[in-house]
Amino acid sequence: MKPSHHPPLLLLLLGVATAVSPLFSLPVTRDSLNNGLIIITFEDHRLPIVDLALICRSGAVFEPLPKAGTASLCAQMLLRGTKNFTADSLAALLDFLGASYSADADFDHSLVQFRLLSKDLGTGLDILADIVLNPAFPEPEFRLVREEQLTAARRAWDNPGSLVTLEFDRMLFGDHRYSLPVRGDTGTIPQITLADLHQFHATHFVPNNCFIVAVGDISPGALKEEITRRFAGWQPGPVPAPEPPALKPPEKLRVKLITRPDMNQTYIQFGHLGISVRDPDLIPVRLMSYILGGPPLSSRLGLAVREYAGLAYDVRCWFDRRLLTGAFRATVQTSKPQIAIEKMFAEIDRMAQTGATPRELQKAKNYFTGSFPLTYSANSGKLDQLISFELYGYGMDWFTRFPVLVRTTTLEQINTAARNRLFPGRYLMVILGNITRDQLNLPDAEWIE
Amino acid sequence: MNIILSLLTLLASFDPLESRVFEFRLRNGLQVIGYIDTSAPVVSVNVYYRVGSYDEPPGLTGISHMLEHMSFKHTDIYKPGDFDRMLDSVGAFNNGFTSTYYTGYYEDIAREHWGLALKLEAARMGRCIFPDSEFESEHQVVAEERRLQDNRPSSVLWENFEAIAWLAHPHRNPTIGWPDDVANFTVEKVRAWYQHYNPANAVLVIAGDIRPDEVKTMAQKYFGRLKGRPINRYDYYYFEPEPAGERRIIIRKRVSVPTLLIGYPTPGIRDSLYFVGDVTARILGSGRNSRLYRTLVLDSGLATSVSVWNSVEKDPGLMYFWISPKSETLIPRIEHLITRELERMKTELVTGLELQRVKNQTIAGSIFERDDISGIAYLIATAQITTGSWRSFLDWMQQVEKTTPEQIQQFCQKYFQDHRRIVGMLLPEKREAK
Repeated sequence: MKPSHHPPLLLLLLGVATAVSPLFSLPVTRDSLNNGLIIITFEDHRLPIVDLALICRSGAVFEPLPKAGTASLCAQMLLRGTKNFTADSLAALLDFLGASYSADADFDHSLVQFRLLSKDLGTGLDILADIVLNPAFPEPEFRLVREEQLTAARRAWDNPGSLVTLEFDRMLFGDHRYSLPVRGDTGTIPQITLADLHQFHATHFVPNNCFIVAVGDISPGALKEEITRRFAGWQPGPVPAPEPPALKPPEKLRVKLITRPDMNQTYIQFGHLGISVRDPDLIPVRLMSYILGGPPLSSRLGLAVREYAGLAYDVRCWFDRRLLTGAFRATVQTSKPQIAIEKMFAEIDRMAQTGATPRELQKAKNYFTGSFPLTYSANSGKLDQLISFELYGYGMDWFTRFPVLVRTTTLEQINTAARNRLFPGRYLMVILGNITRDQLNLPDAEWIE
Repeated sequence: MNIILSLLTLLASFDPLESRVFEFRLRNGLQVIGYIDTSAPVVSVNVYYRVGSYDEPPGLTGISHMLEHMSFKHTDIYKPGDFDRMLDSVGAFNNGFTSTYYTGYYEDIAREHWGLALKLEAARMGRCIFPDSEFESEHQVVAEERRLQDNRPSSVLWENFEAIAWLAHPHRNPTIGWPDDVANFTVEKVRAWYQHYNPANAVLVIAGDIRPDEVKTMAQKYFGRLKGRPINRYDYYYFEPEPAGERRIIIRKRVSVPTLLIGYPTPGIRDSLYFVGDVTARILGSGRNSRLYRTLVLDSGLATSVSVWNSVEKDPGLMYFWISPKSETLIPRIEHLITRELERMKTELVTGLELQRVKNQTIAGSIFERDDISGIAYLIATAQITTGSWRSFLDWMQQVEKTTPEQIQQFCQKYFQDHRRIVGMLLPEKREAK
């Protein structure tokens, strides 16, 4: 198997057209209630199923760093009891319907999601309204979920792959919320209280900060009536804006080395600040990043490190897909770290200095536009894409605009993006493995203990 | 029973799956199965070979996986990188993977390009060449992939657990191969193993926006000239002796949270009770209302998570109990409570409500799986490869529907016996006293 390279950008490949799109006529609607709650639907009657989600536009970036994990706990607790259901009775009902369901947060949003047989849509909407409008946040359940989350956070430090990401994020994002995982860390999760969850819910779960997406065996008109009946009384409220990270790339290479004698491979992650998904250069940056470090068998990093030199199974780079400025990251796991690092540095340098070739750009464009129908076929994919278009403000016509934007991107735009968005030599780097400083030749590096 | 019948009736009336499937066989033995779903202009092309770690003799563990890597490189007309370059240029997703019973390749691709996927897969099937010059770097890539297993504590537990769970059956070998076997691969070994990858030992499944006539034409065009050579797969079904006693392994690694993994051998598909394993596993450890989640997480508070599943594709497999204990010292109590719950399953019938819940989840889940043409293609291909008929997963659903509390009790009595238990623990390293 090749390392999967279905990258975050794939979600961007898909847009959806409004029903009046000149290019595509997709059964998509976007409507809203008087209280600001937006309803987005995509009809697909192939199967008697419905994917239903309520998204709150507030995620982990709205919580204070010392209480990192609050948004995630708040979302998870929505399924742990309401004024009408205990956690047990809620799970019993959903399980008996054969539904699948989940609730969690990401940095940029919180989400409750159901997959149901369409005959159960009414019950699903009842439950959705109840858990969002009437959560009970029972204390015993809170202790349970918090402990589960704390255990998961401890486990993350046990896995070398997640450990390098944890360390890299801490170095890169400093005091910003992005420096810790969405679900918080071992130091922050115990600090979260029930009052924090109540406050997060009261502040952010207001209709003008939320939207509902339904995909599948539905009728948009009837669905709007059903949603209105359950959510029209939900009162809007003010919503704060998140703070972007006020950070700059380092002036030189800074390396944190963690020596682990029990490992037979070195895990490396390095990079610097990236872009926001709302950046005007988004598409050139993503095309450039795909050429540089997308598919491990044909990207420049993949060819140099894996295909030609056999140094690693997986090597890649990408720009985080976040509303605020995320990271540019490059990763590799190898038993020959020095050569792998040199090759990766060289390829990123080359991209920053001389850019891509016309042939590479054309291939990347073909991939971006050609893979559109693939992300479009399953309801679960439609749901994910509709959520991101609404969340990132791309609009429902992104489907028609995106391929055009890709096709019209010029080589000069790609090369400008490479020059302006890559900072060769000015990386933060985490190295984890059975290796010491004197075994690495990184002459300009500043070492961090 | 009424609700489950209504779900099956709902599915059948909505869109009987059989009406969308067609199948035929080429003269060279290639089995071709089509699944029609014209709702989006996309096609999933899948070629599965009846070869995997199951077939590998001692000294050659991992060779199927090594060959899978090499099969992305040279053929008589394509050079390394061409597969990905050509497929990427039309926006296709493609990959290959090696498993116990099969090696699979797929391309999810826009309708207008699915002929390209067939063309490339036909080249991979009959015309791979394995030049010496291509072998060394890919061998190193696979060695690095092998090392990834060594550095993930949970992978170490998993690999060791399987190795003690099976004394004789090839399930004991990791798909990626044992380190020494991987280190000693040669290009000659890869070339010799390539005999398995021929039309008579493969299934082609094409799902999506297709017509039967064009599938027949295209399959014949690209695969018709390849020579088929049936391969007799050795039958290890009855290979594993009945366990003589409980087996345990304790692994200490740099971890902060312990993991407890318990297994019991469960019957393969030739046993009339094989389908009961999945229902039993769900009752025991799937979701908040499962018995062990309630016992270990909600009631006793000894663990933070519980997951139970039954893994049977063809030969006898294992029912796995994956537990996250709150601390190492609680593990004896957890084991005691699990044993107690299993004993209860042997003496008391499960309730109608919990059985109905599991049946509803199973049937609804099978409807959800059809959302994705890649998913349905996977189900068809793996069922065909492992059981000889793609319909077996439909039969399995019917069997699940008919499962009775008495059958579950009988299953538990037969298979949950102390001497058949395998226990694995991944525990934090002990710190030396200063």
